[in-house]
Amino acid sequence: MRNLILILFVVSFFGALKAQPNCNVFLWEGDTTQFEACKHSEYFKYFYQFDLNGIAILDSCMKICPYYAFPYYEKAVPYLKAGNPMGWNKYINLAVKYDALTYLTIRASCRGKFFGDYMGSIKDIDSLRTLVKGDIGYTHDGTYHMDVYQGICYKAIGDYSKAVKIIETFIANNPTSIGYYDYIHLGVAYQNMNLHQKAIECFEKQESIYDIAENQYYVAKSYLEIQDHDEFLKAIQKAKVKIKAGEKMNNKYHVLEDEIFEYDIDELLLKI
Amino acid sequence: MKFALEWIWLMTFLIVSCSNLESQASRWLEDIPFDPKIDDENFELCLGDENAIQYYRVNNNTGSKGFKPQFLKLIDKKYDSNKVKKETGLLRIRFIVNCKGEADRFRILGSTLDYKEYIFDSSISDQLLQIVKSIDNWNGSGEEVNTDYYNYVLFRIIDGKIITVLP
Repeated sequence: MRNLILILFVVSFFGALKAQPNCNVFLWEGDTTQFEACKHSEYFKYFYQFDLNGIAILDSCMKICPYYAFPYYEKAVPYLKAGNPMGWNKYINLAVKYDALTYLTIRASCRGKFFGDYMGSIKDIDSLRTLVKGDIGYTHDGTYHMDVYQGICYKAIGDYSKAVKIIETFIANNPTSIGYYDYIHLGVAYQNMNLHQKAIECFEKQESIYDIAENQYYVAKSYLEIQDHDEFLKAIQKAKVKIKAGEKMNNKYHVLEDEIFEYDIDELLLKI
Repeated sequence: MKFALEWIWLMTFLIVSCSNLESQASRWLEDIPFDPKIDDENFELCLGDENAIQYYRVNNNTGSKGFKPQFLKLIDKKYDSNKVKKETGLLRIRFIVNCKGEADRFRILGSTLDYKEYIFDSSISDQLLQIVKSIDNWNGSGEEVNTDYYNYVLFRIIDGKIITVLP
C-alpha cells in the first residue's frame, strides 16, 4: 500500500512538472525560439483547459515555435475529454512527433482508454520500449504500469494468453510494485480462458492487496462456474456489501476495464 | 516587477478576450450552442449555457458512467446490426444534460478507426441517436444533480456491429 501511495505521489509530481515545462532548459540548449514559446505558454495556466481564450494562447505558442510540443498536447486534452477522436489524434500526434519521450506514454494510455483503440496502445507501448532504456513507467494517471496496461489491452482484444503472460511476467519481476487492480485483470483473463482455479488464486491475492467489490464479484463468477454454491454466495454477498459502501474500482473519466456496478451483481444473482 | 508585468499582460489579454467573447458562439471548445432548426426549444438548462460543465466534473459522477450495464443491455436489445450498412469506425454522440437528467442538443461526429473524418450511413447513426435520445434520465436513480453538463457516448463499430461503448 505504501508503495502504491509512493507511486501515485511520484506520478502526480511528474504530472505537475509536465503541466508546465521548465523554459530555462530551452535557453540552456540555445533554443531561444522554443524558450520564447515556452514562456508564452506559461499564461495558459490561468485558464480552464476547454476555455477558448486559453486555447488561443496555445495557438500563439504554435506560431512562435511550431516544434514546441507542449501546446499541441494541451490542445489535444479537451478533445480527448470530449471524446473527439479527430481533434485528439491531430494534436497528440504532433506532441509525440516533437517530444516522443514525454508524450508517447500519454498517447499510449489514452488510445485504449478513451477510444477503445487497444491495438494503437499496444503499438505505442512497443515503440516506448525501443525509446526508453529500462523501466517504461506508468500510464498517464498512474493507475497501471505500462507493461500491465499492454496486458490489459491484449485482454480487451481477446488475446487472453498474451495478456496473462505479460501481466504474470510484470508481477514476477516487480513483486513490490503490483498495482491496485493488476490481479483483478489477470484473474479475469484466466476466467476468460476457463481456468477458474487460476482465476480464483488471482482474486484471493487481490483480496490481500486491495479488497474491493470487483474481486469478490469475479471470484463469485468463477465459483458459480465450478458449481461451488456456498463460496459463490459468500463472495457475491461480500461484493454487494462492498459496492454499497463504494469500495470499488473508480475513475472519474471512464468506466475502467472490468469495473462493475450493483446492476452486474444483481444480474449474477439471478443466475442461481 | 516580473509578477506585475505578467499581471498587466494577463489583464489586457482577458479584457480583449472578453470583448471578443461577446461575438463568439461558444466560451469553451466543444460547446453546443442552441440551434433552432434541430434542437428542442422546450429543453431548458437549469443554470444557463454559461454554467454547463463537463460530465467528469459532476460531483457524484453520474451520466452514462453510472448505468453503463443497463445502457449496454439497451443497445443490445434495440440496435439491429442486420439492418445497417457494414461500416466501420467511431461514432460519437455529444449532448447536454440538464439538472433534471433530461438531454438535448445531440450532435453526431464520426471518424474512421485511424481518426479521419467519416460520415456514417443513417442506418447506423439514426438508430444509435434514437437509442441515446430514448433515455429519459441521465442522472441515474432519481439522484438530484445540481448542475447541467456536457456528456457523450462513443461507439466503436466494426462492420456495422458495436464492439465497444465508451466512456
